Amino acid sequence: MQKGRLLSWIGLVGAVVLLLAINILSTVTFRQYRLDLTEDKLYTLSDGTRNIINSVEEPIHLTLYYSKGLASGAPSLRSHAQRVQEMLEEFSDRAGDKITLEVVDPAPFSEEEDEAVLNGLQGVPMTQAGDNFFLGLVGRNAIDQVQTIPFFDPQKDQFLEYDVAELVYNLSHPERKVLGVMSSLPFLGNVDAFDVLKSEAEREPPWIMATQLQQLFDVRKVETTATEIDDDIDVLMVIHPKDLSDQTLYAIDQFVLNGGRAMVFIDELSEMDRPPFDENNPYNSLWANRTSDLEPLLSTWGLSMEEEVVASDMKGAMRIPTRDESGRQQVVQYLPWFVSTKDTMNDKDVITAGLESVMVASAGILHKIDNTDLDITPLMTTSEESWRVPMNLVQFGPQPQNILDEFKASGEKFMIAARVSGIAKSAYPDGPPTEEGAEPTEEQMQKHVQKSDKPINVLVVSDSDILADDFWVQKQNMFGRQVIIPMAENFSFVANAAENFSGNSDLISVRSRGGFMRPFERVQELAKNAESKYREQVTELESKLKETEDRISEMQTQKEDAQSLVLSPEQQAEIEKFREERVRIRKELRKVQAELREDIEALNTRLKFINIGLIPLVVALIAVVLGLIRINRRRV
Amino acid sequence: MSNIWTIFKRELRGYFVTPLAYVFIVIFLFLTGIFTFYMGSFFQRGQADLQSFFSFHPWLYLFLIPAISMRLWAEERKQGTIELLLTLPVSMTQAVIGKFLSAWIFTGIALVLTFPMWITVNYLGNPDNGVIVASYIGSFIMAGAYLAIGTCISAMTKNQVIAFVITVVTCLLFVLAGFPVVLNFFQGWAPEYLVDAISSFSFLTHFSSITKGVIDVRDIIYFVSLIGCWLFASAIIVDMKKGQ
Repeated sequence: MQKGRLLSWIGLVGAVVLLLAINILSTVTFRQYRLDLTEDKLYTLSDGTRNIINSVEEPIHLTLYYSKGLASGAPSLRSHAQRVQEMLEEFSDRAGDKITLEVVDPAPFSEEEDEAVLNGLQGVPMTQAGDNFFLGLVGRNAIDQVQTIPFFDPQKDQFLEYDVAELVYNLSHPERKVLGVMSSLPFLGNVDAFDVLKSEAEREPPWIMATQLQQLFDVRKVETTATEIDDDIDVLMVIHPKDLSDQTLYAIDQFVLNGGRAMVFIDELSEMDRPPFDENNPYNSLWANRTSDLEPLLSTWGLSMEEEVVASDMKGAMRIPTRDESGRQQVVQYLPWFVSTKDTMNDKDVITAGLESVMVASAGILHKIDNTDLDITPLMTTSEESWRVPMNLVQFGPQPQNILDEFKASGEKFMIAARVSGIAKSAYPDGPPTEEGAEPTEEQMQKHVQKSDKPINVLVVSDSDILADDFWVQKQNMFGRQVIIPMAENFSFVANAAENFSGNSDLISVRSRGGFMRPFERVQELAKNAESKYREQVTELESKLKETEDRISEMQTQKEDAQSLVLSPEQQAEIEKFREERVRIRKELRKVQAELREDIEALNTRLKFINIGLIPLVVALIAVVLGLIRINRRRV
Repeated sequence: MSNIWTIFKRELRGYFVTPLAYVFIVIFLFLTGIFTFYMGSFFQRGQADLQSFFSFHPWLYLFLIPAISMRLWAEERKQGTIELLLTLPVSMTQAVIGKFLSAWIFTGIALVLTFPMWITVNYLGNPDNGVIVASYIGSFIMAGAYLAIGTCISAMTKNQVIAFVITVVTCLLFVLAGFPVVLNFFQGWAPEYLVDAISSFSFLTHFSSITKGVIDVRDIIYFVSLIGCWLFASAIIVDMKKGQ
């Protein structure tokens, strides 16, 4: 008996020890074994990332600065940080000894904190004492180049993998990427080595966008007459391609089919394309063609641009100063110039995700061609409050009032920018274009590529003014130095695209994993329907209310005019009447607002009833019925 | 195996001949609904997921599962039916496992009956159903862990009330181990590895990582080893008490 008890106790103690051992061991051993059931495979590294990790040759050292102590009070931040750390561990586990990971806890006022700040990491104040919380990454390659992610923002969770993969890719490919620029506009300025003789007035500095791109890329000019695009150009930027020869178009076509990436900024009406003023023929410049379209390449890439119209958008329209008929200065909305906001940009694509505002001016309207095999991903659109502005309303300078008068919301979201990918064919199926009648040589035919091996990567934007200083920066002179203040994120848009395209195709394939936000679509729809139903009513009531209030204040001023302290009984009665009217209208407005929520509330109540009441009731009923049956049976 | 199956069937049928099973299911469904809609503000959040539904499961189980598990052995012992059970040609382990499985499947049935919630989110929006499947699996296996603890404690005593109270307290320890307030208390003086070890033994930590949509082997090992350990202890305790 005694022996049995002893054995039992040993068994119990053994079980506890075994439990502890198994769990401690499994935490360390089974890090990579998991089943990712999420729809977008949020927690699994994509093939593109794996390829990038496998292609790392020289060792990379990653240091994660994570203020673990400060995170303990915030469970959601802790779990986000844990996800970041596990993602990085997965990178380093997969890469063997090529990627090493070190996790540092930069305690407040420690040497590590100084190090983190020195490397450009961003601290977020967490406690009342102002202790900074760090969650950022510093990557170093063998030649001591440094790349950082200043802060892993929980809001940008779905780009976590892309951000880390990009950092690793950049560290393993440290050479600067070459950005070729082919432009019919003076994007790179018109000053070059041979222009020393130009006068100050003739010199045009490069656009600010170009100067900023030069900090990230080796920017190289490509002539608009080029018949071949150099192989070592990683990304080709084509800006407002006007009157390109067939040979040049062919060169671009072949460049793209051979795996080159292109960012194309065409335009239905380029605001920056200002033909020189001709004294003898002043109207000439007004009638000049300011359109570019890059055909036939555009249609082979599965896109077309509407002719003779530009897009306009009521929602984000710019306000510009103008004069009305009587010559008075006023500020009105100019619909063809608008800001594309978060709502109209693709938040699932790494180029546009996170952008809040991109300024667009007189953009063309893009369409996907029906029978194309290519993948067209819209990146930027107008809102649904858009309208096709006929060319004659914009060609001769802004006519905001006329456009406003004729505006009628189309309800369509016009596409302004799109990413094109997929296997593409040449726009020149018969081989390179030649002089009239001549056949292409055999050597030319041999080099000719009819179909791309790999998916092509092209960005098409139907506005070139997106790049122009006037539309996205303010220049200010401060103590003789020019200070540039961005008004919109046009540069981020272009730089995101250029960085995405200059990475290899693996990096481009690492896209966002879909947002975590999944709204109640049905409720949103209900709200939208209700709103449109009641909006008219509300506007009417609101204008009535305004009228009444105006009347009341008018009557009160009248009293002051008369210099009398007392109101006449009629006036008093009138005011009283209007006051009552105001109370009545307010009440009605509140009622309308309440009705707006009514359908949604009804849905809420119905769902509550089903989930809280109905099912338990059904179960209870079944129980009663079964019970009765049983009792009956017993009696029988 | 067939012995386990026999006991399992007998026990499971036993649940449904008494009103107890129905009362439990009704209370469970009613409370999950109330918690989800009122405390979890399911509708106001406007997100097509079941987070506000699953996040209350550890707390619901804390009180509901001990109510099932308390009678598993305590009742048998009180009524003396345990003697009868022990004269049958089944081993202690088989009896423990059979009883445990029947209780587990019973909670599974209650859990399945929450399916209108699943239909509701799919009606309202476009939820990630993979995450919901994972969460259901996680919730079920966590319920198993609660039950295993309850089984063992029920085996220790004749008194169902005592079994209930002790089970609640023990389970509460396992829940609270991952709670920020508790961890903060330890953080002041205990070494970090101890704090991490404590938090790694919490139901909350493992359950919340499963409800993200990832079934990690480590989480499964945690719950399964916990169930195994408590059941093993139950078998030993039933065996030890047999002689008394």
